[in-house]
Amino acid sequence: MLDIAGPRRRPHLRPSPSHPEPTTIRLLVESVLDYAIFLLDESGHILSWNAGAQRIKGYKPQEIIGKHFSIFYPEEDLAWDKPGRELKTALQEGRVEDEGWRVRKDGSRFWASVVITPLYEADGRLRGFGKVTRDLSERRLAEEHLRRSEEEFRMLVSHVTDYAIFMLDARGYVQTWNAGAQRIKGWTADEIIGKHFSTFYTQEDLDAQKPERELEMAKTAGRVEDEAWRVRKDGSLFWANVVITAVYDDDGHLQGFAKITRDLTDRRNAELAKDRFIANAAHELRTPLSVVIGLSSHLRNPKAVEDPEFPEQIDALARQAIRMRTLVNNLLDLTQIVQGKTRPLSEVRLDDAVERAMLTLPPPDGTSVDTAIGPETVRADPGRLDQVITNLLSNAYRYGGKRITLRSEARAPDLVVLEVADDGPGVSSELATVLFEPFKRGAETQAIEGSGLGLAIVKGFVESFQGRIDYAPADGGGARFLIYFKRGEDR
Amino acid sequence: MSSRVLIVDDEPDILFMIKVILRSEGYEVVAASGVAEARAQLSEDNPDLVLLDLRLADGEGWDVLRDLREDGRLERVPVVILSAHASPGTIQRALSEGAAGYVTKPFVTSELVGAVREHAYGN
Repeated sequence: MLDIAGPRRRPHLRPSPSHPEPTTIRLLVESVLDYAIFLLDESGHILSWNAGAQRIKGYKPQEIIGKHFSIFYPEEDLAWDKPGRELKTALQEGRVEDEGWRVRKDGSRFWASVVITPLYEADGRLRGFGKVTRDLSERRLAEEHLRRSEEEFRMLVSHVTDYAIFMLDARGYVQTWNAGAQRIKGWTADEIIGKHFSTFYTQEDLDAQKPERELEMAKTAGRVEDEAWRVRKDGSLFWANVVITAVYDDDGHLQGFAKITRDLTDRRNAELAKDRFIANAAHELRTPLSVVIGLSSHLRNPKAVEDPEFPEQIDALARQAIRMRTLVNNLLDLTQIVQGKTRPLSEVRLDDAVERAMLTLPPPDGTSVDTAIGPETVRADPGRLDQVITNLLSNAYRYGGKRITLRSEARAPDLVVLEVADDGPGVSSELATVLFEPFKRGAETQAIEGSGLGLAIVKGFVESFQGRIDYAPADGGGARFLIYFKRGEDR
Repeated sequence: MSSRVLIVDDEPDILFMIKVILRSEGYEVVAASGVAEARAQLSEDNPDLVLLDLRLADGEGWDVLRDLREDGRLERVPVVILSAHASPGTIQRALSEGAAGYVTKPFVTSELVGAVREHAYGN
């Protein structure tokens, strides 16, 4: 029987007179379709041909038997006598295996896996060769597909701009670079490939040997994540989230590290601003809380009622409780603004809104309010619009002068401007730049009660109407606010 | 004779509350709403204790504290800081600049009264 299994063994062809070739084996070989299995004589001429050989190579038995097997090799292999060399190697090594292009009868090529094994008679004389050929074109297609998808993946990574994604070699030298890395860190691929990744660390981290330690940790744990300052090409710092993953090949050797970096500077700043906001809000609550806690614990004394100032004490208690309520309401309003919560806009008559505000918040004694508001409608949420006007009015009452004016003017066809001005001291130029930020208050107005949130809310509400608010000092130096509204469809 | 306490705070209701509480404890109370008023008071008066807020409308309580510590006549007047700032750094600074005590806002009556009793001059 044919024995073509196993490398470096010397199989023997043993259909000898005493062991006739079993017909079943011959039938089996002849019918196999997936493999071309055939015999060559000692010089390489084809002796037999099975169904698989016909399917793969295209020749019928009568066309090919007796021909030399070099007919299957492409020209470039014939040039250096690859067929002859393979037979020689098979004789020397007991077997030769090859993967390469072979030629079909119609001239087309296929990628073949070939095993050639020398076959010996029982007495050790060379009888010929057994040749088994497999068509690997399908596998090659699969590999080609894989290579293409790798290429697509590489393209994908290289075009990502939100993340810096790149490879380091096992010692930490940059090997690849993507668009995100360039955007976040500033270096082009040419400038950075081949440089050590410690370039991205601050001097402080370098002194602490952080880059080395992070690679070591990635090696040990597979992955290491860090959130810290990193350095851009121009020397500026950004707040980075960094993940370093150790990459191993199939044999378990460390190939290098994949590094993914995100720029979280904006997010960190937003978090810090939120922290500051919360700290400010807590701070603003302390004064009214002090009064409420202090007075209420004093009032537990049964004799407190006899104090002639008792009513004033209750008034102060109530006043500070209301102040806390105002602060809490303002905080809720601002939260809505920050979360971008809008209310449906409708068309509101500006003169009605000003009238409502004047009823809610009449001017204190000695203060006059002149109004000149046209009949135009503006795009707004009525409740928020009322609050915008009362906030501005109450600011004018508390910080402004004795004469307050509210005027409206239809400027462009779709624009209405409301002006709120007073003849008071106005706003210092340094405060004017931060006037609409939460908790910014002028030093000169510290003694006047207020949460420092009123104008931030006004601005947020006006912007939710798709409008705008500006501060521009009045001619006499007093405060003046200009609110630009989208005009309604009244005209 | 009762001890006299000068309170420096720019929140009218805080001044009022402290006045109410300390008076009911038998103290004589004088109020100042800012740095300028505090200086005016101190120029003609030797209180037995100063309760001092750090953030004032017209300046900083730190300045008043320094004035007191640098004035031969007033240097022994005890100062208790009354502030919403509660960071260890601020408290440490106040004590090292010569404050006798520190009460953070918001406080309960017993904290305020306890600090005044402990530090008022002559006790």
